[in-house]
Amino acid sequence: MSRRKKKHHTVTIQDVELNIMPFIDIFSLLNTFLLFTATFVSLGVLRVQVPFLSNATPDTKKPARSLEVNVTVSRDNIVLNSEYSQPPKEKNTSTFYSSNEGVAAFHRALLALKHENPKDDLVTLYSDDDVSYEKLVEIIDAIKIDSTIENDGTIDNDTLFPKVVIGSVML
Amino acid sequence: MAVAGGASNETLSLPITPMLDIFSILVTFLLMSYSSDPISHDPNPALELPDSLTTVSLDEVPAVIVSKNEILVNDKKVVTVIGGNVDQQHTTQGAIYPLFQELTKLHDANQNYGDSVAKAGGKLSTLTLEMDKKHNFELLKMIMLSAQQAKFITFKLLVSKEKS
Repeated sequence: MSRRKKKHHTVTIQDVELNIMPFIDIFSLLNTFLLFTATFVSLGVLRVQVPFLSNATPDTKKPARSLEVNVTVSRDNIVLNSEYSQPPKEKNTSTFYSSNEGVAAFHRALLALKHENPKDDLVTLYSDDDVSYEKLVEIIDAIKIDSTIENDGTIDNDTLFPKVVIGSVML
Repeated sequence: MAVAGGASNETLSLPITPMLDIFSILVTFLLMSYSSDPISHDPNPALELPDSLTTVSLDEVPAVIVSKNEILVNDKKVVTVIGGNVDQQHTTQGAIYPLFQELTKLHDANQNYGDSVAKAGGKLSTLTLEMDKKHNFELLKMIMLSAQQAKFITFKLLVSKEKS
């Protein structure tokens, strides 16, 4: 049986250099890959409905007296109509300009309506043919999204009138 | 620190720490933005999306794309759009007939594929629509009418999320 001799390594103080070139190579490749594949436009969706005929049984949970809100959009104006389904109907009509200030005032009017009727969530939207899609999306935003800033700094989404029905889409 | 040696005895050092810092921050940012949305979709380059304050993220790839010049269903050209309008010969009762045909096929394929989902009140009658913001409601109404006749009654309008 042979004896193994123990080798004693002597530790000497030298200049130790970390080779970071592979690390930089990996970072460069990762950066290139991510920059090529990244989508910089953040995409979202706005959910809307069109009217349809159904033979389903009517919703019995719906309160007897509910608020019916109609919005009519033309090139220059936004008309907000609200009335209750049962007397006293308290019909109310307000007209706003379709400028940014007008849309903001329209949104405030909807916030006031929602404050008075927290359970109502449906708005029927009618539009003229010459209204741009961009303006229509801005108005749907004003109807659906509560712009009140939450405590955490975010806006409250889909809480104003979440159900938007495009009433103009009818045969 | 990287060291470069030349022919002379002098050594030239290149500080690469700031570059590493930038790389680290860039990689972190890209990795964070990469995982924020459930699906990744590149909008059609031939259209401009409207801005919205919505926080609801895109959850399915748009089936109908309405660019400045054409309407596509699942990347297949259906009809040409000229000046924001569709040629009269393609329209019937306010709807676009070739679009209606394609959407009917899509609806039937969806039903065959997931009949159980449809019975359970699934989202088979929902259509995601990507449309140029310069178009008028007239064109949107025609598209919605075509989809309505093909039994799509709920629409998800694709928008570009605007920071509040």
